[in-house]
Parts: sequence; C-alpha cells; structure tokens
Amino acid sequence: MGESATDELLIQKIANRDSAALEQLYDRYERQIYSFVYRIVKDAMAAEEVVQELFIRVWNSAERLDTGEAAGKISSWMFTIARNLSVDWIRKQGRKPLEASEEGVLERVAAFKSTEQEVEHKMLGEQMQEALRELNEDQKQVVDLIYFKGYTQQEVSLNQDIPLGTVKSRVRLALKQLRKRFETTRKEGVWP
Amino acid sequence: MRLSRKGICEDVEVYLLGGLDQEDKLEFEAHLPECEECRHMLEELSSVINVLPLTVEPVQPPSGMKARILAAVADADQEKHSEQNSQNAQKARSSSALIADGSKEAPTERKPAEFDYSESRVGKRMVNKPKGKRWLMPTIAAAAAVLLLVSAGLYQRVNHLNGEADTLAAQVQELQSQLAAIDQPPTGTQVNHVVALSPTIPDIVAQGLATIVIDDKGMHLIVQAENLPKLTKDEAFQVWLLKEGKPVNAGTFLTQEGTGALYYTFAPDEYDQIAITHEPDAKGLQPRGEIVLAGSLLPA
Repeated sequence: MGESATDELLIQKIANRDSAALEQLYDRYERQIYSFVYRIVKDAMAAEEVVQELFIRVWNSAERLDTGEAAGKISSWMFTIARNLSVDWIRKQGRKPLEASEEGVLERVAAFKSTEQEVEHKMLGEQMQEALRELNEDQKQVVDLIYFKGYTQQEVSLNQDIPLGTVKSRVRLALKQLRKRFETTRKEGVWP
Repeated sequence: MRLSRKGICEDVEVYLLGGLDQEDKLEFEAHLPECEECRHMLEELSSVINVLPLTVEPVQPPSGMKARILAAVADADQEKHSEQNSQNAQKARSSSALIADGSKEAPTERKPAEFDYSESRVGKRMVNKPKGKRWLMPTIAAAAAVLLLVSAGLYQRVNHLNGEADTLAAQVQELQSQLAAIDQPPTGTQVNHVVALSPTIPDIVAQGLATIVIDDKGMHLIVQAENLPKLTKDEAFQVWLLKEGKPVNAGTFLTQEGTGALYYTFAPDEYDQIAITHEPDAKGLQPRGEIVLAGSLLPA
C-alpha cells in the first residue's frame, strides 16, 4: 500500500476491516487531530480519550461513508467529530476555567517530519491564521468562544452581555471575511 | 422562543461554527433539506470551517498513544461484533448529511452513554462504546459480554504494562549503573524489592516503577515514572515512603515530557507503601497534593 493512498481509499479499506489502512489513516492525522483536540480540551489525557473515541468511530462508521460523494471531506468529517467529542468533554467537566491554562502549557513542537499532506495542511493553516489575525477583536472573540471553546451562541450572548443578534451578525461577518481573505490569499498565490 | 423560517436561515453561520444549542441545531438540520440557499451557504463556507482545525499550535501526542488507541479500536470491534444483530438498522446514512455536518456521526441520543469520565480508564473503554445498543440485549448476556470485555481489556492492559515495565526496568538499570559510577563502585548490590506503581486516580495514564536496592551503604530507592500529568509553575512531584500511614519525604522531582525519576538513600527501615504526590511546590515536608501513583512494599 503506497503512502499516497487517498483518504477515501483508506476509508474504503477500513470499511472492509483493513486495520493496516486504519493505522495509515491514524498516522496521517494523529498530530493534526491531537493538536486540535488538545486546543479545545487543554488536557493531555482527555485529548487522548477523544482521539481514541474518534478512531473507534472511524472504524465503525467507515462502511457508511459514501467516499464517492464525500471526496476530500474525510478530514473535515474527522475534525467535526473530534470537535463535537471535545466540546462534549468540556461540557461534562462543568467548564473549569479554561483561560487559566491558556498560555504556556502547550508543548511546542519544533520540527515535525512532515508528509506532503501535512505540508499542504500546514500551509492552509497558516493562510487561515493570517486571515484570522485580520478579524477585528469582536469577531475573533466569537469565533474563539464558539468554535474553540465550545460555547453556544446563547452562552456567548449571556456571558459577554451582548445581544444574541449581535453574536449572530459577528459570526456571519467573521466567516464572510475569513472566506474572502482566505480565498484572496490563495488566488494571489502568496503561498506557492 | 423558536425562530421563524426566515430566522432559521440566519443561523447558517452559527450552525457551521458549532454554536447552536441542541434544539436549534435539530431545527436547523430539519430545515436544511428544504432550503437550497442554506445548503449553498454551507457548501461555500465549509472551505473556511474545514481549515480552522489546522490553525492550532502543533502539540506532540503522548508517547505510546498510537498503540493504546489502535488496541482500543480492536477492543471496540470485538464488542461490536457481539452486538451486530442489534444495529443493522443503522446502516442508512446520506452523504449530503456528511458534507453538511459531520456531527451526524455523533448522534445526540447516544450522548449520555459516552465519555463517562468518572469511570476508570480501563472500565471506560469497556463501558462507553459508541455502538451501545445494549439495552436491546438480555441483561445476563450483557453482563457476560461486559465481563468478557473487561477481562480482555485488562489482559491487554497488563500486556501493555508488562511492556512498559520492561522499558522502565531497562531505564532503572541504566540509572543504577549511573548511580554506581558516582563514587565508589558498590559491591554486592542486591535488588531487594521491585514495585510497580499504579495510578490512584481515574483517568490517569501514569506508570512508575520503584526499585529498592541494598548495598553496603544502605538502602537506595530508585523511582521512575512516566506519563505523569503536566506540571505548572512551581509544581513538583514528591515521593513518599509510608510506614503505617506515616509519610517520610523521599524527595521531589520534576518531569520532562511527563517522565521523571528520583533516587533516595535511606537507613533500612520497614516501609509498607510508596506514593508519589502532585505538589504545589517542591518544598513540602508533608503531602499536600493528591497521590498520583502508589504501590505496596509489603510482600505479595
């Protein structure tokens, strides 16, 4: 099995109970997904549990995924489940203060040996970081609170004392601008 | 207060970002098949959402995570097979739902059964499988299945721990040889006691090994542990030897990537337990933090 098997091919193999394919998919996404989950749950043990649960689901759900129509979506699907599981976890914890551990606890990783896809993802991530930086503070805040901290729009409205409609419109504007900025960067070919 | 039809379309961005509560989310998903515009928006904006996970700071996964996770998948698979009859009904899944929202794979009705962090790590693996349809099975069969799984899981865990113990033993050996090189080479060093240290609180993956060796200078305790929780600020781990519940400070250590080690020389005495606590700083004379690892020094 070549290193370059697509995610869709791996999912098809996983659907046929090919554990080597699962391992390959795991290797491909371990760091990305772990980092993402860790960003949300801020706890190494919980992050591992979430990643574990995710891969159990991948194993059990692969046969139900239509890899034809879902082409290119496998990673998004995994990230979405990973986020849902992570948010479930922090909700179960009764939301201990997350901000306290925000700074300085992340183990930075100096150099990954990267696969081609990781390089591609890293580049996309950097482009999006750039786009995120250009949001105004209010927009950044709602994106962070909702997406990375798992708050609902009602909770954001309540905690930040802003009308629900304002939360919605900040999210709307943020996504609109992210999309515009992100796509412009891509078209301009700033990143070769 | 539920939103009007028009209002629902305004939720598309918040939905995509994951900010709708359960009720609004279900409502939006019910609305989706009948709204071309919302589906179009989802498609358009998913290019943004799909990239957000890639913006996070890279973090190194814990060592050994891969082996643990792949083993857990195999465990879950065994369980699945034993339950297969009860879940054929779940086959249908539309790919448009997959595109719109991967959370389809995390159906809400299963949530209460998932991720019960109050269980021990081993127990949790056994109990909280996503495929749970156990209520369909007769109680006795379920109990038998659980027992089977628990023993399979424990067996796997023991195998894993044995592997870890080998590694740790090798490291201890290295430490011992370093220790030996410090001043006079000890002669006739004997291993008096080797104790595996186990986690005392649920959800902790830390493991440790304590070795007591005897030579002509006295007794030496060598402790090594790994996968310990992360320390912040002044925090430290502290090793205690206990005699009838009374702790004697055997020193503190810091960790590097969750791994730490310590050695302590003491006058021979009959200790019955060894424990490692997570302390607010390295200066305590009595345990203040919680015990993370412990092991008995009494003969088995």
